[in-house]
Amino acid sequence: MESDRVKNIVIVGGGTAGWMSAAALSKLMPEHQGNVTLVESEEIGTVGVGEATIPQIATFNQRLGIHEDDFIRATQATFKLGIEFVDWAKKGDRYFHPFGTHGFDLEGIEFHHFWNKLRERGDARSIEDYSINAAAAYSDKFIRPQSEHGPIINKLGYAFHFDAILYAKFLRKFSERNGAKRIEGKVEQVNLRSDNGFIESIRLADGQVIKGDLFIDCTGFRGLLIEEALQTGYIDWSQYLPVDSAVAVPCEKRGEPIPYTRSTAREAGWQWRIPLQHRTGNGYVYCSQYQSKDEAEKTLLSNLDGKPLASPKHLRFKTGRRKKFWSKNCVAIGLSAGFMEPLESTSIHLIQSGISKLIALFPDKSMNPVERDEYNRLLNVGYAHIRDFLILHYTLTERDDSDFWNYVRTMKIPKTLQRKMALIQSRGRFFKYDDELFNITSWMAVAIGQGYTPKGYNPMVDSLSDDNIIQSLANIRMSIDKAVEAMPTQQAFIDRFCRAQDVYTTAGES
Amino acid sequence: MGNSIEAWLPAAYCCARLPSDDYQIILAETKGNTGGSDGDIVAKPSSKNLHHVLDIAEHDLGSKAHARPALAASIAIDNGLHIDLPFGHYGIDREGIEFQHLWKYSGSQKPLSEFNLALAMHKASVFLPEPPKGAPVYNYGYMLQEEGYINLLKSKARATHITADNITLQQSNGAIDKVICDGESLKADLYIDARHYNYAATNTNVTYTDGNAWQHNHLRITGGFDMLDHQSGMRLHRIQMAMERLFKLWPDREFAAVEIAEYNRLEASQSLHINDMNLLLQQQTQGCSNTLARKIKLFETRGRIAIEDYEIYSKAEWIAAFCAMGINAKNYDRLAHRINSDTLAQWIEQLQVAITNVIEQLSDKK
Ligand SMILES: Cc1cc2nc3c(=O)[nH]c(=O)nc-3n(C[C@H](O)[C@H](O)[C@H](O)COP(=O)(O)OP(=O)(O)OC[C@H]3O[C@@H](n4cnc5c(N)ncnc54)[C@H](O)[C@@H]3O)c2cc1C
Repeated sequence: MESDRVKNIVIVGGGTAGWMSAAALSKLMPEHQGNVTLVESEEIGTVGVGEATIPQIATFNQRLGIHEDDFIRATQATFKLGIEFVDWAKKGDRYFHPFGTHGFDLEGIEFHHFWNKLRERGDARSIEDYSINAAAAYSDKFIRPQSEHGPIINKLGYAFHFDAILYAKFLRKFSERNGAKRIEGKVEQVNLRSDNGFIESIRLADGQVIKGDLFIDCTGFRGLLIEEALQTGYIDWSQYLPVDSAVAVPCEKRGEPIPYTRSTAREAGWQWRIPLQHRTGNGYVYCSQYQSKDEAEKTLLSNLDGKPLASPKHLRFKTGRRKKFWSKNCVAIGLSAGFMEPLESTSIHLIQSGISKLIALFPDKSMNPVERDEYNRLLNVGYAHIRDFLILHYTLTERDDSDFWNYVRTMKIPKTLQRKMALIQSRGRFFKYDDELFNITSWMAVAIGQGYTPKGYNPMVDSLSDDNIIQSLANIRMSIDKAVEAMPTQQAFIDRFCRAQDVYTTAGES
Repeated sequence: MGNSIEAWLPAAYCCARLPSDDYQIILAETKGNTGGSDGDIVAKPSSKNLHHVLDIAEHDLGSKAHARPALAASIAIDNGLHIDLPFGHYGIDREGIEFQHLWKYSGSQKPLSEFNLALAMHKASVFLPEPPKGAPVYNYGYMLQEEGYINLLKSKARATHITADNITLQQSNGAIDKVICDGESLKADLYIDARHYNYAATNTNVTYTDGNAWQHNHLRITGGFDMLDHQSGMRLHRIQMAMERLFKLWPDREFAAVEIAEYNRLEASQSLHINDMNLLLQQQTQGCSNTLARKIKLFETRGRIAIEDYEIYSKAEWIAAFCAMGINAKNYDRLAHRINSDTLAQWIEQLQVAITNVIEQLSDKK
């Protein structure tokens, strides 16, 4: 049934979501078999933030055949080994959420049980001391792990910080090379079919009508197609994640970029610091119920480590997700699908996940509800797991120095998270459900980092003698120290392999 | 407590993982039938991990349990028919598109099953430990002689061993206080009750979900509920999974309720998937679980396999079961069109010829 085939894919929106979708679909769909058209409006512009990622992005690049160093050079990217959380558990406190793993499992038992046994015996070392990522991050070191580097460096996990505007530009070039067509224009009307309510076409301000079989809504928070036209509905999670505003500003960089993101808790939210090759990205995500726009801007500007390079940009959002990510012949990807604060840099990953699931369940023109439901089910589950992990950061705080922290410290949390926390508390038990994104290292890093250390350990640990455990853990620490010592600094690595052109303009204008 | 694989495997597993100077393991062996498997049981490819833990080498499996490599599990269904669930892939995926879509798009006249090398070898009774380069991949399991396998497990279980005609449990507040074996009391910290392998359950409508396998200080191990579990390799697999779960949640004498609940939750989820397959094979899909209904619909629509949390069966096993039950995909993934149809048809034909050649060469050598 050739006539059933989806031939015209129309992507509305040219931010990170739009161009990631265009890149993947144009690569997948040879020109003679279909058209990928992307409509974007320079007048409206993009959200312009979203610069920290998680390691899974490497898979996206690989699938597209993008060479990592090309991508780094084009986007002024740096490497990210994890996130440092400052003042989260309480003021003056810090911990590191690393990519990669903590130590090594021994005798089939997860590493943190051994660490916890020694801790209970009075060993004051932090679990971070067993993370190659944390050690490299705090020494400003980086190396791309390769098999010949041996088991310790091979545990190093990494992602990137990049300039969001440059990333969209980079993917635009890639997509256009693969046959995607870009149309500049503002969508003014969405036309629905009278028989089944599917989107038939969009009309631009200049009168152009663009028809499609499948529409990808990448129009950002407003969800021009999925919500304004199809009225899909939104599930609000702000009772769990109450921040609803952000103010962002790039600033001049100070010294060499560090290979990690920093998240510093402030009075009514938290501030990010994302180091790039040419500048530093900063933003303050806060709850408008507890702090005004002006106060938030002041807080951000007084906590920059360089001169601002632009005027601060204010954003508003509602945490949650669409009731359906895929409705009729429209799939929402990116901010139009939902949004959770960027505390763990998950939004770009959710874009990637949406694209790969769409490809795995690629429809024909009839948009079979079975496939649509499966897509929605898989994404619902993915969003909910991430939501729970984000809530963990707040619910574990001890801070009581502001109304905001008092609210999040005492708020009700979802049952799914309660169960996970109870298991962690009970001797550090952890099971990954439904292919969920964050693994045991992430959960333990945040839980232990915020003082929610498991009570006890798997009693199986006692099958190894204390001396044996002490020796094994000392060996791990020693190997990490040695490996980090031998690594180049991140700057040296970048200079050697992937240095971007120097820019002397304001961020985004290069 | 028990005398079948359900008892001896946990005993051997505990002995392998717990240091003998700290832990004492006692096996109270009951008398009678050890499982009624007509002599043979299926071990899925994943049993290799189990045997690694138990330090059982392949040659021991061969000499002591008369192990023969298996590339599929053969399941008897009604009317003398058999279904083979393969331990290997259908064809080879290309450009991220699963083979069953490519096959359907190509319009090949050859049945899908002919593109599964594991199935083809199983049917021709030939074997190669590893697939030839460029052929569809597989991993082999075993057919084991049950009695020999039990003896092998016994040799690995350094357990104090008593035999009893009659075992009764004394409980208070849900926990077991002691076990009376022919009048003699036995006290322990953790009791594993494997007296009811339950294979003889005749009621095919039993729900296989057992949400309370672990209560207080006693854990029930039931490897198989009926003949299907037995033939599909799930009997051994269930016990293996139970042991892995138990050791991940290894308790102390407090027996934390939250950990026991997690064990039971995982067990229930696993049972649900096994049950889904069993219902499918028994053609009892009317009013079945949401997970099975979703799987069937998704497969029928376009040959896609929904993989659930803690899935037990592989995609190939599901495809085999659907095809055998007459549930066919009406369509295929349209992205298959990326591949030129002539090139695809040629490649598919070559693949089938390559598989046939492998079988012929191996058959000649027999
Ligand atoms: C404060 C903040 C910080 C963030 N930090 C991170 C982070 O560190 N890591 C991370 O992974 N994610 C982060 N995110 C999320 C990330 O920014 C987004 O997921 C990502 O940028 C994708 O955005 P988008 O493409 O969906 O939307 P946008 O960038 O808003 O793009 C929308 C597009 O739609 C077009 N458009 C809208 N209406 C019309 C119309 N009528 N006609 C034509 N075109 C139209 C616009 O012109 C634009 O091209 C952050 C988000 C916020 C709010």
